[in-house]
Amino acid sequence: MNTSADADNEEPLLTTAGKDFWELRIYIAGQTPKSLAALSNLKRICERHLQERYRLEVIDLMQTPQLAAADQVVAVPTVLRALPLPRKKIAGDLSNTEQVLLGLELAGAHAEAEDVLRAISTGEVDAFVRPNQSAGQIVALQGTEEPYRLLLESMNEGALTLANDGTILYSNPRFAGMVGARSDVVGCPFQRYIVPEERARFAAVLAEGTGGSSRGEFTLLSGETAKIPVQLSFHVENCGGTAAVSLLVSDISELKRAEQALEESRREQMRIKDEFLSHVSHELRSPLTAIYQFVSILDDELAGPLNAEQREYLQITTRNIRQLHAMIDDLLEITRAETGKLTVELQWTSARGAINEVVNSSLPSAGEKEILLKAELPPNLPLVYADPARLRQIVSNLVQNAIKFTPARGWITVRAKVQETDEHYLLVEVEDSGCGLQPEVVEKIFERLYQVPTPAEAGRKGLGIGLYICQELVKRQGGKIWVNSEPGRGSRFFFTLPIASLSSLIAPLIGKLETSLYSAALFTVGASSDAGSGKSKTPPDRLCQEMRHVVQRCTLPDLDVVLPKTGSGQSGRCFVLAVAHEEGAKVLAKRLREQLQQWEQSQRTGLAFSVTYTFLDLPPRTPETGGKEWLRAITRTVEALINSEPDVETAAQEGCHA
Amino acid sequence: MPKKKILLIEDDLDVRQGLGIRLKANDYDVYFAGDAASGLAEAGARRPDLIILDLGLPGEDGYLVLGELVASPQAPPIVVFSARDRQAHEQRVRDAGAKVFFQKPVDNEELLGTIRQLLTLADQPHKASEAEVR
Repeated sequence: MNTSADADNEEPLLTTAGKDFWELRIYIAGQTPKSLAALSNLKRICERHLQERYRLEVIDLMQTPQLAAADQVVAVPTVLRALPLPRKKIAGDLSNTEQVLLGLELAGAHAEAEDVLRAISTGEVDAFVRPNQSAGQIVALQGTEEPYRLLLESMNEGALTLANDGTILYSNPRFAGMVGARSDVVGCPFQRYIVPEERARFAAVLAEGTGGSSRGEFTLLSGETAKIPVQLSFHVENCGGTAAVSLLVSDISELKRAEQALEESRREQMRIKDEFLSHVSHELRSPLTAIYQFVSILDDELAGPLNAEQREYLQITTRNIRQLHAMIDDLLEITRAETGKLTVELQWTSARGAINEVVNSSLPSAGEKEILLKAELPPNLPLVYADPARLRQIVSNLVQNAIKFTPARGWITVRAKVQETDEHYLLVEVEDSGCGLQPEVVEKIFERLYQVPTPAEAGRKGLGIGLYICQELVKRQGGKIWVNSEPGRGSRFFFTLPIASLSSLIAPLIGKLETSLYSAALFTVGASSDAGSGKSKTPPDRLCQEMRHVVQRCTLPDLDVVLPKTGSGQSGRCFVLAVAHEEGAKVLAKRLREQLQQWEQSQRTGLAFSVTYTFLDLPPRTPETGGKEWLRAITRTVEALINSEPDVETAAQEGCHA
Repeated sequence: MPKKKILLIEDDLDVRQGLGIRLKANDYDVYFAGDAASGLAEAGARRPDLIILDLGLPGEDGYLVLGELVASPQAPPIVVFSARDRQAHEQRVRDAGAKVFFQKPVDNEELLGTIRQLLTLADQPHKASEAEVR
């Protein structure tokens, strides 16, 4: 500090006032770096001008909040946003107080006083001084006006002031309680009370804070081990170059607990609902079985001959039993759809077969309403990569819906073709001449439990889950489903399924074939059942499916591909394309034979197996041939080999003749 | 040729009676049991050619009964006929040694066709077990 020579020569104002002893009462708000600095500054001033002739009483308002005792005090809060004390007022008051310390300082040590004033005006020190009959009083405050201070002290949230590096300048008791601090938290970095993994995020918020408010959720460390979820509300205030942060700390553990309890109870309810649905579907099955059995006993005239009327009534009963059966199945399906457990077993399958089958089995119910139901399918419809049972389920659902919503003597047409916009998909369409759908219905029709407002004659409503399940099944098989419809102009339901393509299956092996000296072999695993007749026959689908699983278990994920079941004529066989040299192929063949034999021994399926392989005559890969072209060439080679394989049935018969 | 013997272990009286009529109408000798203990006893005494087993027998774990039936010497093929969820039980039942899982209700033709097939196959155990793996 500059002390001018002029000031030194002048008679100190204190002395001219004739007082020889000074009692000074200093108020500070917490032992913050600022208040302590202000205090030591004042002590120095007193030391210089009053030597031994003064007594300093320091009152920490944070420890003994008796602000009322200092009726002269004008507090200038810095903890909360505060009115900065107008410098003019301070100067004016100070000029009136000749006996007063700072007045003395102004007269005697201009520079030093200027420094204090600067500190006051920039908010580093808040001070106001007034003469008093007994003593001059200097108040340096970093606190707040009493009502606000009391509010801060008693509130249920933690309230703090931080320096912009996170050092705690002020904290109310609640915060200290939250973190279970044994000693004063003032002077400590706030970061210390946040869990380590969130400290960087906190620092980022501080660094970013150039002004204004923000909030975020953090986790406080409380005591040794406890953690408290909190919401921190930051308010950054710039005061003369340095920033101070007001921080409000709200304990949100209760909120979190409530949220968690809510989520748990939601899950529990879902579980109970699923369990209930599964239980209901289970319990309905036994009585339904008995009803079906006795109705079919009557219908088959096992209990005596029927007249035409009785037969008709029994057939109506049977049809309703089937409906009920389908609904019970749907009940379980919807639980599965919701929990992601709908299963699809993808294989190469014929959409033509599925569509024709559904159309044929739906002819009777369409006939009852004199609806003309037909399939229009072009020749050479490609196979799709889908689950045949699920495909039938989707088409059947759409056709049954169409029958329900098409008035008597209308028509329904099922079509299929390669999608024009994407040749990798087959587009299936079910069109009807029914009542059509309102736009708002079109929007919601695939939603779960949505019921189309039914015209009176359409009869029963059903469960409202058929189209939802259709949508889930189509999605799960890689396709899309949608509807085009206008009221009075019928509806056209569309869905797509990926077309089966050999090259998409072979593609993942191309890299291995390129980078290695490996060659590729095509394995043919054949099975035939020669039980009973002595003549070899294609085994039932169920066994073929299981055989595929056995074969699948023998293969290596990156090197072998089990080619999908192709649906027509080859169900007794399965093909594996393997990236392998001579030795590898022998190993795979051995493994296949062993596993199939083991399976046969445990299940006694009555099947006989054959495992054969040929190495592919790979087309040369030259820099000129692109990867795609090479893949196409390999695909053609594989295709030719598969198609040249005679069917099991033919082969077996030839064997008999030989 | 003597009639084939089928043991129907099922606790639901109505289902048992209905299925019994259907099986008899298809020329099988049918024996009944309504719980696990009598089911196992009948299986030992009657030496059936095929067993139809309900998993939900009173007070018994159907899988334990299935296990005992499978483990008995010269166990006949076993068809499980249950109201339980196919997705959850089909594979489990097969792994436990049953030949087929049918979820109630099942189409008559499907059930009878499978029974015929299993009985024909069981007629040539010699042939089936020696089926050559080439």
